Amino acid sequence: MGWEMHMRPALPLLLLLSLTPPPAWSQSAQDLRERGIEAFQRGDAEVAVREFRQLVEQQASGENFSYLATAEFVAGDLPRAIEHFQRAIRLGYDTGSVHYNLGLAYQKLEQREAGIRELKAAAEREPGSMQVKYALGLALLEAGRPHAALPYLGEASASAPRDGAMAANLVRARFEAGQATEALRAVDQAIRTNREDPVAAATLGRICLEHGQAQEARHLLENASEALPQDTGIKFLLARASLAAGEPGEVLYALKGVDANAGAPGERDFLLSRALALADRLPEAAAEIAAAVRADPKNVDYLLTSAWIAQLEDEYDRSIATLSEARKLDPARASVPYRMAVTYFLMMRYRDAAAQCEEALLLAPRSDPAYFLLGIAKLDDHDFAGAQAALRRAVELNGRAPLYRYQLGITLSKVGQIPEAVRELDRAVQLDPNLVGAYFWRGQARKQLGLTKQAISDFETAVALEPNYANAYYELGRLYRQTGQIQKAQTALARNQELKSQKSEEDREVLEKELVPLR
Amino acid sequence: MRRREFVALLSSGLWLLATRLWAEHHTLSADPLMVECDLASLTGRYTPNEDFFIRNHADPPPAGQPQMIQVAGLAERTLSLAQDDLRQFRLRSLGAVLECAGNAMDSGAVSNGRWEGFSLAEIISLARPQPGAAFVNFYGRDGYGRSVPLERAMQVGLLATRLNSQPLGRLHGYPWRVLMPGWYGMDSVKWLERVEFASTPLANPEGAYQQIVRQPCDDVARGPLAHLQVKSIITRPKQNAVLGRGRVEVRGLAWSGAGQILKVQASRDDGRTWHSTQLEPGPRSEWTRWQWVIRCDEPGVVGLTCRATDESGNTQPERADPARLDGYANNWYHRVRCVVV
Repeated sequence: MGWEMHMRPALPLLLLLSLTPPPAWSQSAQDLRERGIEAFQRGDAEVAVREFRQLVEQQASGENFSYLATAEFVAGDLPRAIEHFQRAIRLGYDTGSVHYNLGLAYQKLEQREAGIRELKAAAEREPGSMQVKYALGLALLEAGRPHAALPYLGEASASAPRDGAMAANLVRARFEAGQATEALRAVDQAIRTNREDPVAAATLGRICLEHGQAQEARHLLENASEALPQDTGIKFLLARASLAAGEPGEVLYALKGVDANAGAPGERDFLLSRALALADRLPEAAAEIAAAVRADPKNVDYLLTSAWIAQLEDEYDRSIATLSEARKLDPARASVPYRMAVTYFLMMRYRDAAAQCEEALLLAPRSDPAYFLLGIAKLDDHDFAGAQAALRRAVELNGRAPLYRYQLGITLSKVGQIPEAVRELDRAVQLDPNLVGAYFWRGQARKQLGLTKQAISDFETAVALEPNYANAYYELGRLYRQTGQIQKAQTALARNQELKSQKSEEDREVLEKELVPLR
Repeated sequence: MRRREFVALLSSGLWLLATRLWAEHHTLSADPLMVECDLASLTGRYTPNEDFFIRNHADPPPAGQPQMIQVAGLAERTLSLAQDDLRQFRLRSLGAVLECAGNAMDSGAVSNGRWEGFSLAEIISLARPQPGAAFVNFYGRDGYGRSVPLERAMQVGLLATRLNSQPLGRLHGYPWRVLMPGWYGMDSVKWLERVEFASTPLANPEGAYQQIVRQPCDDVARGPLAHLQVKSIITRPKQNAVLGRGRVEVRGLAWSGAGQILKVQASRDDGRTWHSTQLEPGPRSEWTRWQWVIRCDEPGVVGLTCRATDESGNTQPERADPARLDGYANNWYHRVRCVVV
């Protein structure tokens, strides 16, 4: 399924051979050349190599070396092909085709820079060739230089708008260049041009999924799957896109009727388990992930999901045991200690949680979620300095996460850095106006700054968003009383009392539930 | 951080923190497939095909089978129509809203589309129903069947083959489905394979697509569901939205099976005072888009409510009829609670 994303070298090589006029060589050299071409054209590259080798022994011309190199390329002997393409150039056969083929040989050996150099040389000699521009664009893209690739891929794709592979690579380059809007526009353009081509939709869907555009991927893959309902590869991709988009129902639908043995071992059950867990159908999710693990016991993704589901079922010890197993299989996977840290946090073992976060950060030093978790673990362990440092780092790495700023605001409030706390909490509510706790803590901070009116407004917002917010009613009651609003104060304090009595009941239930495993 | 808050946060996996969790449509059930449209994401008059709501009763039939419609029963002629045979009928086009009978007030089992197809009246006339034929039974290849009074099928029925200028999708009944504009979606049978004229309607499975009204003495009365009931909904702001202070654009949709929407009124104080909204009417069988601009300068909760009136004088009721036990045709005032901060 999907378009071939890389260049196919055989076509230009064949063109090179067939377009060359026969020279006036000696009879035996001409025979060798013709026999070589004939063997090459019938797909017998090994015989072609033998014939061309004899040819260059008789006539060591640049052109003959280019024949030999071409046959060697197709026969899979890339080092010799490179050597002989270079020899052809040194002997004066300095054509666009030779540089192009040499560039492709380097590409195949993943010698990216040498490949780019040769493809650029080919582009200088063949400025009108879209094939060369496309290959150069792809080489630059593969080398992690999407900005440089864009002009070449754009020009090539504009010259052949119905070429799905070119369109797909242009989309990929735009994503990798950080131009998500332009990439999505290119997706629309490609789909308009290839409206009846579900493979085009599936390939573009896969690229969108790989670049974090789950919704776009989902749309494209739904259409592809509708047109090709038997294609399980598309169903798996659609299931993954739907998972990423937070649509568990769609995952279940996409995988309905898909055989358990389709895809990689356990893949179907793994995807189903994640969807079922998201849909809060935990016993079914546990059964599916157990089946996935049975099918592939060494798959760390499956073990991570198994641990996650155990954690959702409050089976923390089982979660930790599964994660320990995952760690043995892949000690370099940062998500294993991270997930362990989450589990320890839920077990209220904050120091263990912090230790696991630190381990995750050794493996993934720029992981903002790990810094965040480290911060809140230290905050709950009353290590305010440690919490502050970790949360500041999380905010540095991802300034758009409202929770990071919210927790940093709380930490700063606790250490008395009130104006800075207000700034962080302001930013938190700008990023997520539903973050009810941020209004409460900002109200507290503003109260300390003597900004009574603004503090009241924050507590009022908090109770409007969360009508059962007992502590906010308490603060409101006190501030209303302080500002002479006695009736309002009485109402708020009465509500606080009512909620507190309910809450203590609720807390006791939670506590009893959590103590059960200890008895 | 409060422990429960944290658990809720982690349930979707912290590594996915940056993932957008909204969608233009949501799959509510995989078996049978039910997908609702996120009406807040609607940008044009018509619902895009990929977001059009789906309410199936069984798996879609496999693709690639020969597609024919058999027309039989109490009729003078039996017909067997293939795709090419439909060319004898005039291609028609109309815009129509389609709503699932069980669509709740805050759900998206409703969509508006531009349909193309052939008049059922022409097909029925070709078969010449006998005088005793009072109902048309439509059967889909998925095994679902539904009866419609013959007169209604003749008046409004369409054999739809295209939606929004594209062939019907596989999940929407490809290659054709019935469309009964102005009536709830259960009559618009997908993957139509058989049309049968009969003197009596098909039996309903217990309680399905029936109006059930509690009677005195704990008895219940059952009857057919009426046409699409007049209904308006608020699509923006969304339920429980947090709004910044200042200008707020309230947007919504309204439709009715009994004619054009005449007015939509909206309230910001839970229905104590009502205001006219600005309508953008569409063709008769489509939905009407409406808009109301207000200012919210004070923090606190705002209770937005809307109600519509159609040209037949029907107005949305204030609340659900407590005697109705079926859960269909939900059309009471739509209420959205927002918080201004």
